[in-house]
Amino acid sequence: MNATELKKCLALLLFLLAALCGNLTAIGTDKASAADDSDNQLKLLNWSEYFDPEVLAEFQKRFGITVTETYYETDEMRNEILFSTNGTGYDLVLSNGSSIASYVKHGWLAPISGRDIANLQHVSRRWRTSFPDSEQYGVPFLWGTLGIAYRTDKTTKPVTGWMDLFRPEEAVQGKIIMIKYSRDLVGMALKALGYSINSTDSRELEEAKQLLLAQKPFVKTYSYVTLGENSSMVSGDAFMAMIYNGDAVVLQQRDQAIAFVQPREGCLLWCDFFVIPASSKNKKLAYKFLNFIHEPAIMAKLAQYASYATTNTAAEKLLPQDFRNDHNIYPPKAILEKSETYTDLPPRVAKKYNDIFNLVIQ
Amino acid sequence: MRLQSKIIFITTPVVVIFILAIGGISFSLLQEATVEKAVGNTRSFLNSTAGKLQVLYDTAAKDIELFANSNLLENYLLTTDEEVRYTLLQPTIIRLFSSYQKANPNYYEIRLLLPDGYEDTRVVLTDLPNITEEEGETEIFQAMQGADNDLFTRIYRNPDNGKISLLISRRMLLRDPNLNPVSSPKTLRGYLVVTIDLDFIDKKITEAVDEYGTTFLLADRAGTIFFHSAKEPALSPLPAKFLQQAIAHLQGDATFAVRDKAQTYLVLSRNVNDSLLLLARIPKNHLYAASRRLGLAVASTTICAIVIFSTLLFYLGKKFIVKPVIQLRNAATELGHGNLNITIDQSSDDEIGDLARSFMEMSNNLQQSHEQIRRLAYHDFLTGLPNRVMFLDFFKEVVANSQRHHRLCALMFIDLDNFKRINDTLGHNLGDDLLRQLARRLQEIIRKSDFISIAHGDDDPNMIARLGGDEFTVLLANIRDQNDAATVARRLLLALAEPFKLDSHEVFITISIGITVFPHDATSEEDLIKNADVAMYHAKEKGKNNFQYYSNSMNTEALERLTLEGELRRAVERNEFIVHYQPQVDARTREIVGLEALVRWHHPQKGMIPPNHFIPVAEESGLIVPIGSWVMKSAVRQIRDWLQQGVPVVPISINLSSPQFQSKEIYHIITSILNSTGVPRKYLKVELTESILLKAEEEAINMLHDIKKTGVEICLDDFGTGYSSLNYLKRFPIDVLKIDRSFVMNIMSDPKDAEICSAIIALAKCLNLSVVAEGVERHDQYEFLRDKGCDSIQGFYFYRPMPAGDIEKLLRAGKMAQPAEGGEG
Repeated sequence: MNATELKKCLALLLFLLAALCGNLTAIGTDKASAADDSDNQLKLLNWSEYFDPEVLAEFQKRFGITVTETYYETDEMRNEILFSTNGTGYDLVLSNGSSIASYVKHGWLAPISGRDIANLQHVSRRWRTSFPDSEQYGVPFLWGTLGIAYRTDKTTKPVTGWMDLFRPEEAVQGKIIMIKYSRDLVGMALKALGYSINSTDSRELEEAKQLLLAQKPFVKTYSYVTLGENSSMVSGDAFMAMIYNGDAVVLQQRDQAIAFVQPREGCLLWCDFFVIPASSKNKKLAYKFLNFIHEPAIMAKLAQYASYATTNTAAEKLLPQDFRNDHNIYPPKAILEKSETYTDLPPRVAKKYNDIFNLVIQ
Repeated sequence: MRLQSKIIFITTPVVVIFILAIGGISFSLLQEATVEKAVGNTRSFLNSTAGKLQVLYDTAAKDIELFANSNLLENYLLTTDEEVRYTLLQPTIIRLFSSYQKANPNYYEIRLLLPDGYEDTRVVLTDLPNITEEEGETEIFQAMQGADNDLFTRIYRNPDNGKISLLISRRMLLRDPNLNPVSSPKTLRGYLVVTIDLDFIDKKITEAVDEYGTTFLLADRAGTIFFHSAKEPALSPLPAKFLQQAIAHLQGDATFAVRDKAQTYLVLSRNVNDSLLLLARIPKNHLYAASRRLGLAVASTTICAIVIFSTLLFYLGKKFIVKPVIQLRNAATELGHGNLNITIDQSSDDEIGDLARSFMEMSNNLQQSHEQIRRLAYHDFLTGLPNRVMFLDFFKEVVANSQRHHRLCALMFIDLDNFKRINDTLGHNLGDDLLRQLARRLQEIIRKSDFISIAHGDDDPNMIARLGGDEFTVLLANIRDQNDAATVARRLLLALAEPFKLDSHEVFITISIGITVFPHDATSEEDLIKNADVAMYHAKEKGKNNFQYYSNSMNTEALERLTLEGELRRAVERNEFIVHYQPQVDARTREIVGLEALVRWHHPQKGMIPPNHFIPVAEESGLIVPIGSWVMKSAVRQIRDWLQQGVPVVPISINLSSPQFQSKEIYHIITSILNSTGVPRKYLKVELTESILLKAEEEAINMLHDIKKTGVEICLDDFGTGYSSLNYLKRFPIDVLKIDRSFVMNIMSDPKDAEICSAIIALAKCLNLSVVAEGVERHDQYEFLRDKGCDSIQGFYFYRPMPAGDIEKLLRAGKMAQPAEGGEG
């Protein structure tokens, strides 16, 4: 079995996976591209419900390149998918900024030159350099925070800080959805306790672990809240969730009873980047795709679709006023000042995070 | 030991042995079954536990192999960069391990250790504290590091939670992907370590409970105990000897016994694998508890059985054996004490019943024998009448009663008249017969005379008894008047008017009766008997065939006689006797031809006492013997004197009394006197009465012949008065017959007497005997006798008895005898 055949096999596997997810559009495009040469298609590993499908259609229409999406639910799952294939099988991967350095260290990523993507000029430099190796290997996409979504009709008092989530009032106990990601879980617990989300202090970590374990009985599930009409937050199966700000906005649009708060202790400030695996044979097409999405109009469309703030300053100008004034999308300065981004942890501290995480979710 | 106890002691052991045998067999069977069951159960427990452990080992080995073959794990281990591993890859590995754990919750810790012992990844089910991440120095890590096999198993105590767990590890040997995938050597990248919870084994062993308190142990061959069932303290580590034995007994159903702290245990061992052993230690005393309980039950049953059986036996034995036996024993004791009126229950038809019947039979026989003995002791065997003993007893009683109730009673003494003669003439047999008939007749009379006595009670108040010989007594108890006794006496005398038939003879007899009455005559039995005796003698003296009441005069008479006997005795000592001689004359020539020596007693106060007064007393008292001897000597000396003085001497005849004759001394006396005096035999004659000859025995007869041979003549006195038998004349050496004076007396008035005299004289002539007639008093008598041929005459007609001096004169004168004047004869 040569390398090409292996790729075909993997493609088929991914197709089947996509079919299970029910993305008919992707199937349609996939079917068309499956018959075509691989030159005309891009495999994208991405969050679900994040990328405007119309944009993908527009891209295909304009360049004749089919983008096949594979979704992951959490950052951990993405790592696992990449790990299981040793970083191969995808042309583009949407990754959180803090993971880029380890991908790079593992040799999975190909560097991206600014020259290849002209529209990078629109992208804020602050975001491009916000994470180690992010400038050299990543193209910033959207950014946001992490907060608490809750149903105002189910809580008895306003939710203002992380402790309202970790030590929930009785009304919401057992109706809580927590994000199944080690850094989010341990980090926010640290933040709730008043520590840095990047703490390496084993004593602080131990406190965080105990906080998490204490919360565990009230947690309905460790995963991520869905955003569709059947979302458990809408249906009333869950009353409170750790959630990325944009997703909360989407849910608010579905149900006015759902509120979002960025805790007063501060929160996580994150940014997603597109990276290109070193193993990709369609790096040129990927560049085209990345250049395409950073066309200001396209980017504005994407930001609005996902309800997240964009890293593209030109696109920002195209956004409507109320979008730009939405504090849930654009957090107030006070919150931002207290918020942190994830930094690389020393390996054995990372291991500790893993241990805590595993202990909590199992 | 008593019969009761014996029965119980003999029978109870049979029952006890039976019960013990059943108990013993059950005991041993149960014990065997218990041991078999216990060993079987324990063995199957060990087998199932060992099986579970083996399955656990096998599964763990397979699982760890499966885990180790994961690509993810291999990739992870081949990633050398820590940062990449821990930030990027480890969550995946953790998720992988977690998924294993979800499938096998008892794999409570799955770890990845790096070759230096650093704990790279650790997935635990719960928040288990981690003692150290640096395992390099730990014993367990060094053991797996040094192990020969890649696969390493060990049961150990996990320091993280202190629990005994099974650790299974596998070396992760991987080829560097950058090198040649075939030829490059594998290098050690780490160890996959799974720690397996042994709770279920722990639980299975520690909670293993059986009814025997068995201790179960899981240990390794080094003796370390991992699990042991509750209570029993662990013997950790196991003693080497014990371990050795356990290893030696791994095969089959083998068991072995050990002793520990005074307890004996049965031990079973089971091999789990090369390192592990399962052991079970069954306390023998618990094992045997069930059978001991049975043993106890058997023992208590036995005791109960003994008690019940003994009680039953006691009761039944008492009822059916002991009680009858005791009854018999009491009856025997009663019998021994002389009570013959015993009745015992004979209804039982067993041996005891037989014994009771035999006993009753014996009692009856004894009663009969007793009756007989009593009759023999108290009755006269000849007549069947009460004897002297019984009479005396009865008499005593009657006297006492009479005294108490102030009654009268009479005692009669009866004696047959002339019974001796009847006995002599008819023989003893007929004499006895006569006594029997007499007794019957007397008895009849007494019985018919009940009216005489007032009866009190059933017993005949009167009694007739035979005291001996021809003596009878009649006791009339409780009479109204003393004349009643006379009435009875008269009837008795009258009853003898009829003759008795003895053989072919008809015999008439008479009796003499003496009567004494209580309390008039005497108050003591002795006196009454003596008085009756005296009265009876009186009746005899009154001519026999009559009765006499006792009177005091009779008593005086008897007293006189007693005095006489004393005086007579003294007279013998003092020689107060003298001899008179009565001459006998020749009937024809009237010459004196002989003299009869007659003894006379010259009493110093009373003067001459006639012979008929003292001779009977002398005969009864036996004094006649010395008197007779004295007379003999005097007479012989007189002859000698006369011969010396030249007096013409005639023979002298001397009377021999019956006692003298029977003493057998008489021959010697005669010969010695004759020899000492030198008197010729012809001058001495002896006279005997018929009654003497009648009683004479062979010896006496021989003696008589001896006397005759000396030349002394023998004269038969009183001939015709007794049972004169002609046979005497033939048998005895008689020389002279002397006709009794009773014949001579009536010779002239009674023709019969005359005829008898004639006949006697004629008989004597025929036999060539000389005849002497005595008591001749008148001339006509003399003439008759002379005419009839009588040889000699003695009597008053010629001479009275005279002192020796007068006789000497007569003999010297030598003249014819002349009839004496007015003599009695």
